Amino acid sequence: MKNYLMSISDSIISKQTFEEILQCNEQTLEYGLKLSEENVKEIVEIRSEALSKNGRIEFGGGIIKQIISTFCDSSYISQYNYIETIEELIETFYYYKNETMEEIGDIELINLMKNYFDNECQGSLELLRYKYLDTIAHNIKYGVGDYLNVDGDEVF
Amino acid sequence: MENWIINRDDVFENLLSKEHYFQSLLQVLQSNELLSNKEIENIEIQILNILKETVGYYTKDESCSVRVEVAEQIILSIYYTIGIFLKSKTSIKERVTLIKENTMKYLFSEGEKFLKIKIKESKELLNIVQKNKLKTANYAYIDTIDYGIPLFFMEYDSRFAAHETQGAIDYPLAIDEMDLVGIEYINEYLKKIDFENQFCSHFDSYEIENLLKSFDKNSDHILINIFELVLTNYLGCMVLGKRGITLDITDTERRYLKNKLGELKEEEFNEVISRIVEGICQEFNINDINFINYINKTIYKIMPSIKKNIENNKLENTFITFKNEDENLIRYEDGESLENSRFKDITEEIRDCDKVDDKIQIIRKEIHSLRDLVDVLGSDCIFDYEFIEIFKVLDDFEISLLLKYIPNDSVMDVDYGTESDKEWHEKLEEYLDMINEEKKSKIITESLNIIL
Repeated sequence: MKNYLMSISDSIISKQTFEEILQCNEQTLEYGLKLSEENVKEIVEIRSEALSKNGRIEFGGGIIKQIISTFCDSSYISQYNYIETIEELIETFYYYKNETMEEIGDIELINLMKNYFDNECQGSLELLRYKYLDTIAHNIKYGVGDYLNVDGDEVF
Repeated sequence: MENWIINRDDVFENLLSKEHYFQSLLQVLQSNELLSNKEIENIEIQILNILKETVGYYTKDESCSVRVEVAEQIILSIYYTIGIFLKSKTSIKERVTLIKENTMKYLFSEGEKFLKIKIKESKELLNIVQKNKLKTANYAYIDTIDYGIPLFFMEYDSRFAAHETQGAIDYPLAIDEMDLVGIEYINEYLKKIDFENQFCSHFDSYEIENLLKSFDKNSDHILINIFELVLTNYLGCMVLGKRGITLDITDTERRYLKNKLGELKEEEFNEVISRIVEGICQEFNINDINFINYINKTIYKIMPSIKKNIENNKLENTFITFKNEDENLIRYEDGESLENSRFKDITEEIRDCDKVDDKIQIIRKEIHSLRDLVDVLGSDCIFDYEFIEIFKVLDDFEISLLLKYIPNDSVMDVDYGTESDKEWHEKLEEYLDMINEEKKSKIITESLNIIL
C-alpha cells in the first residue's frame, strides 16, 4: 500500500504539477529568475524524493509553486543559486512538516521560513534549519506554548 | 453472461474478504474479466480523487501533504465505506451493475449514509444490551458492556478510519467473527451478545452465578462465555428430561448422560442434539432465524467436545455439577450508587481533607454502596498510608466485599485495573498481611462465598 500510494503521488500528480510550476516563470521573471523545463523536471524529482524520504504523500504540486512564489522576491536568491535553493527549501519544508508534528500549516510554515531566511539567517539555509526550524520543532515536541519563541525563554 | 454471474454468486462470495470487501471484490471481478483493466484504472483514479478531497478535510485544508500512514488509513476507510454499501446488496450481479453504472463518489456517499444508519442502529442495540445485562460479577462481561463498547462509539471515526475497531472488547462471545472490522464488527457483536442475554434471561441469575462459580471459583476474573456454559448444561438437562429451568447436573446424572450419549452412533447423536435444540427454541419461543442459527452454531462448536469428553471419560469438563457450597453463599445486594455529579463533589471534598479521620468521616457519611466505595478508593483522593487507616475502620464483611474486586486468578496473576486501582489493591493486600491469620482466613473464605 505504501509503495502504491508513493507511486501514485509520483505519476498522476507530477503531470499536472509540471505545467503549474512552469507558469511560475511569469511571476519570477520580474526578479530575474527563470526555470527551464529541465529545471522543473529536476525540482519535481527532488520533491518526490523528499516526500518519499520523509514518508509523506502530496496531492498536486501546490507546495513547489507556493515556495517559488514566496521566496522569489528574496534578495538572497538570484538565478545562479535559484534552483539549488528552491530544491533545498523543498527538502527542508517536508522534513520540518514531520518534525513540527503537523502543528504548522503549509502556508504558515513557508512564510516563517521565508521570514527567518530573509532576516535572521540572511540567506543561510544552514542557520534556517539548524537554529531556527530545529528550535521551533523542539518547542512543539516539548509543548512550549509559544513555540515560535526561538530565544530560549521556554513558556509551557 | 448474467446467468453465468448468478450461477457463480456463491463461488465469488466465498472468495471475498469480509474485512477488505471492496478491494477483494475488485480483484475477483478483474480476474474473472467482469471488470476490464481500463475500468479498474478508472476506479482507482476516482478513489484517489476521493482520497484527495478527504485529506483536505483531514488537514482542514492547511496542508497539501500527509504522512503515508495517514493516507493509507484514509484510503482503507474509503474502501471500507464503499464496501459496506455494496455488501448490503444481495447479489454479485447487483454489485457489478452498481460499480459499472455509478461513480465511486456516489458509492462512497451512499456508504457514508449506510455507516450512519449502522452507527445509530448499533447505539440503540447497545442500549438494549445494557438494559438487559445479566446479573453477573464477571468482570470482562460488565466492563465490555459498560465501558468497552461505549468507548468504541466515543472513539469511532467514521470519516477517516471507518475500518478501525476501537474500544476495549474483551468479553469473548460463543461465536466471534473476528474477520469483521469497524462498525460492522460492533454491530455483529451487539446482536450476538443480545441473543446470549435473551437466552440466559430464561434462567435465574443465582443459578447462572452458581454454574459459573462451579465451573471456576475465579469465574469473575476469567474470560469465559456465560451463554455457552448455560447452553451446554441446559442441553444436558434436556437430554436428561429434567423439568423446570435448572442448570445443575449431578454426578449420577452425568454418568447417565455418558451412557446414554456414549452408545449413540454419530448420526443418532447429531439427531438427538438437534431435536433437543429444536425443543429448547420452542420452549423459549425463539423464532428469529438468526437467533436460532446462532444457537445452532454454538451447539456445533460444543458437540465435538461433548463427544471427546465422553470418550475420555471427562464429561465433568462439559456438564458442570454445582459445588455444594451453595448453603454458604452470601448474596450481596449493593446499595444505591450516587449520581455522577454528587460522587465527583464527594471525591473532591475527600481530596481537600488534610486529615485521614476527616476523610473516613465523609466516607462513612456519604458512601452507601460497595460500587461507590471501590470508585472512591480508585479516584486519587486517598493516598499512601491513608488506605490502611480506612481499611482499619471497615468491618470484616466490608473488607471481604472489597477483596472480591481484586483479581486473584492463579493462572494469570495480572491486575488489569488502572494505576489507582492497583494502588488500593496492593494496600488491601498489605492490610491483610498485617492482621492476624485467623481473621485474614475468615475474610478470604467469606469473600469467596460472596456473590455480587
